[in-house]
Amino acid sequence: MSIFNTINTSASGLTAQRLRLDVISENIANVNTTRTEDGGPYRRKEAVLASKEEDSFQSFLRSSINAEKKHQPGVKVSRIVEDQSPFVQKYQPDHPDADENGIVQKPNVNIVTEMTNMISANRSYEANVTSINTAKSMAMKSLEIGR
Amino acid sequence: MRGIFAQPTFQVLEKGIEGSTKRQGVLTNNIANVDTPGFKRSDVTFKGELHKALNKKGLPGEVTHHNHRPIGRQTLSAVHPQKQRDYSTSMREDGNNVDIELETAAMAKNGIYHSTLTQQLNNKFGMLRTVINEGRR
Repeated sequence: MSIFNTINTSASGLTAQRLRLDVISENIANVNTTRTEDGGPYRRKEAVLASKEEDSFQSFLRSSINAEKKHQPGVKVSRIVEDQSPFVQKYQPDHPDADENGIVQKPNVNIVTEMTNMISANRSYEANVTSINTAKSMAMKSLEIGR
Repeated sequence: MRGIFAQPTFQVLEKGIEGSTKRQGVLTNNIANVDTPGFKRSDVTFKGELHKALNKKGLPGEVTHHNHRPIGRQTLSAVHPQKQRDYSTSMREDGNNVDIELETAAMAKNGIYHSTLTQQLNNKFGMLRTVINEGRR
């Protein structure tokens, strides 16, 4: 694997963590949203990460038949899923979206969870930056060979 | 006459640099997948192979066909750093066994290892250059 591929791997990590952060930001921004286009309150979203490398027999077969390039290592966001946990019920009779009992369905966003995930995404981002820097210094060091 | 670059030192240093570059890529992939559920880390092991190739014990098995598996003592040029998946379990809930502390520490060590080898290679070249230049005077 060339040193640039190494940097690409880290870059895929940066992209994935950035997208994770975007999703978390959306959740935090919608912490009190009771009306969405689909109707009902906002549902919490979560990014699902998956490794870019495939281990399956099928992928090995395909790569050996087509002699295509091996899978790029790295990480990708495979999909963004909605959290199906129940909405938070809050008694607030003066709210326009309250039902006949005065209960409002609030989004299933827990701000503590979001903050924790945000810190986690931030730290992972930093770790990827560290590996880019190490790869860079190794590449620069290799350029000094024979000088 | 054996060429001046055919010394085993050059080959060992080359293999070491090759291995550490590959290892960097694998460790980077581990770090990129730190939040991927079910991901298992990989590592590159080549120091043992290098050691075996340098340690001139045992008989080398002759490879005369491309389907032969090398046995016994191997030559340096037959040493190829291989990626190995680590299937050890993790204490994490999501089945991922990447330990970020371990990975960054391994990466720091690998970086130092790589720069040691490059420096050593440069020293060897410097010695050759000295020999060439001094003979000219």
